[in-house]
Amino acid sequence: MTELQCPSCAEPVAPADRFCEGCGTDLLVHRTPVGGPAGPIAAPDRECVACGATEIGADGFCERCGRGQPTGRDRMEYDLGVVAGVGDRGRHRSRNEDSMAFARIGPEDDPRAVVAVVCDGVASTERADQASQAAADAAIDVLASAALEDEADLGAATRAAVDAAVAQVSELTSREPPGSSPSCTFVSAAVTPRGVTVGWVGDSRAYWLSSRAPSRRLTLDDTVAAQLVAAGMDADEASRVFHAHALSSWIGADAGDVSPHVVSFQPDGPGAVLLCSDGLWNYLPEADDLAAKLPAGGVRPLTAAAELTGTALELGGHDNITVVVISYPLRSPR
Amino acid sequence: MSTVPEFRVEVYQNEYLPAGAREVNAIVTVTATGGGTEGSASAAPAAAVVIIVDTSGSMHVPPTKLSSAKAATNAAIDTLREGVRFAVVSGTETARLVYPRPGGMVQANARTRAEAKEAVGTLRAHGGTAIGQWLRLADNLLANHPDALRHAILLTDGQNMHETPRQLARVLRDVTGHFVCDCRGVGTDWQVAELRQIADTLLGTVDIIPEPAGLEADFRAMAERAMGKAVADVALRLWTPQGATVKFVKQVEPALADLTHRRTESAPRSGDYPTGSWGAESRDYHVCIEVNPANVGDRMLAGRVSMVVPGAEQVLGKGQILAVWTEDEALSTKINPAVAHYTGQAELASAIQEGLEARKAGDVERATAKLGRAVALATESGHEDTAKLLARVVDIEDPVTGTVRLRRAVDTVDEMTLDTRSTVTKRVGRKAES
Repeated sequence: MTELQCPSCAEPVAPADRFCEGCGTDLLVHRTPVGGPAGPIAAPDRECVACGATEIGADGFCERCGRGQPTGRDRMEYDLGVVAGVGDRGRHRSRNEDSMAFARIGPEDDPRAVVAVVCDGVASTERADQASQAAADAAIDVLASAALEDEADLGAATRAAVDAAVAQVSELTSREPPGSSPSCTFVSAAVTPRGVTVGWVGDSRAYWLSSRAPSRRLTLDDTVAAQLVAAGMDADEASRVFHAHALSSWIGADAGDVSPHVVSFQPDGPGAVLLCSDGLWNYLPEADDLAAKLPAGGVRPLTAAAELTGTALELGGHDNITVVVISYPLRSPR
Repeated sequence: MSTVPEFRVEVYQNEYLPAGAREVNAIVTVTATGGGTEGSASAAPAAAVVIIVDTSGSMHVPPTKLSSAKAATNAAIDTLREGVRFAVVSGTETARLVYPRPGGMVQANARTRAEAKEAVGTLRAHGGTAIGQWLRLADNLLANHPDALRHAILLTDGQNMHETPRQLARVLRDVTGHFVCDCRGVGTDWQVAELRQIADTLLGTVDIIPEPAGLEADFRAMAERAMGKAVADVALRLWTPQGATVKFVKQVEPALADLTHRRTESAPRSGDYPTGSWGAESRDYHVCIEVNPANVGDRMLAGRVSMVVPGAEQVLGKGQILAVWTEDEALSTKINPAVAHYTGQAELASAIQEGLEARKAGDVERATAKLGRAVALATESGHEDTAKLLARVVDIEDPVTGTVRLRRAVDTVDEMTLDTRSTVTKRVGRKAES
């Protein structure tokens, strides 16, 4: 029998170990780095974001068109196999205030669970990028810890994750000058073989996308317009209401008590769970349209997230775009 | 073997542009330090200098002109470093090699210096002026020393009467890049535009020596500067992205010189602009590039400046010109003080030149407007020397608004001095940098 070893330091480890005795690496929970995955995934033949040339200078500028290649939060990419995410500053905002965090529990070929969070920093507030990343990082810790338990109540964990996010953002606010109150939205998914649990605050969304069964939106925006529509008003009429698209609920020190909406369901076939900020769904609000944009066949989450982000950019990229895709069932596509 | 100086390239600009803006402006400061000039004499680079003295008939009037020119030439010969190759050319409607007699160039030592000065002493003034011929002979002499720093010093007192402007232009085209030529006009019978054309093309300086008595000190200083050069044929290489247009590349300090049309393509999307010989010194360039605008928040490398010795393909220093598009007007509306300063200098120079031209043509209204503008610009930017020179050509009623009246009688020396020195710039105060 081959001996298991730590992927990071090659120290021998036992199958039940959560941490490597040698270097302390978490052997069970694989997650995005705290602070967010900065920059695109390194690739030797990466193309220029503006002109597609493959000559990128050592100083980070395209040798053909001169465009500075995205660094740091401008473009965020991370791939954990069954779950992957792409964030992009878009074409009109000077900062990326969206954040994501996700984790895979268990080995890549046989994960026990995947948890993911997307937070969209509210652009009118100071340091919204830090707020959204702090919220996502705090929340993913809570969700990942809960998902380690086989019989965990993931609905309760989602509420606890939102509490942790609120605490984190409030902590950030206490160090700010009075009057500036960073805040953000929240959407999460916890996916296990037993089903999918989605929670949200604000207008970031979750969708169930499938090529066989009908695709559908899983969330209802916390906006005045969305609530009026839910109450029976005509969509056009609702969108003309004063402050129709203002958030009615958000995460931040000035938000008061926040209780997220939580829904759970058992997919009836293979598909994907999509979490995204409004930078994507403003262009593609309908679940079927989103599903149609997915690459055909065995959807690789990183490819799907990159394709959807690219579509939003092509359609104008007016806002920050963040897309996280989790394949269901939890199998890494070949 | 001489050591090449170290070049430092610094870029001063406001990289923030409003959405949709295309024009990127930057001041590039290039500073050369070290190299052969600061080492021992053995480390000094090989140099070759041709001194060209106008001996046309007019050099007799006044008689002190020729004797002063001889004294100045002797001073320059004395300043030549031991071992430097040199020759003396006398210029009339033809060019004649005064020293060394057998032809070619000789190395400076006690004996050759004495012989050269003796030969200079025998010069007589007669004949006409054909500057192209003089430059052609200098070029032939210097061509035998391709590895040396090649330099010519040209003194004239008159117009280029005995050849056509086309003939001179053809010579200039042929010898461009072969050597650097500093030009001096003595008296007031020479043409500012003519000497400026020669100096600009051959990457040298131009100045007026109103009184023959001033020649000696000036020649010594010129020869000293020539001896201070450590590397020749340095080019400013500018890379720009695909789709970008270089609107201009100008030297703006120590004097204005437009290099835009001197570009030679050197690599994909790169062009080289000649800057001549360098010693331990610092120069400023104003680079203006038009790019295809990107989106708000995007960064672009609008230009990459490096200093190169083209033959050696040796990159001596590098700097980046950036563009970042923003909707923050507080950022995009800020004008970099260095860019503003040199934009003002260029405007000042052209106001003076256009004003003097209009004055000559009898267009009082235009001359008054242009020279008034020049007075206001010189006052605003603290160009005291220029303001003083302007005050000799116009009566200044209000220096701030530039309200002036043309003077009826203007000394030709004052007019020519103002014209010649209009391109001499003043370094921007770096303290103004944020």
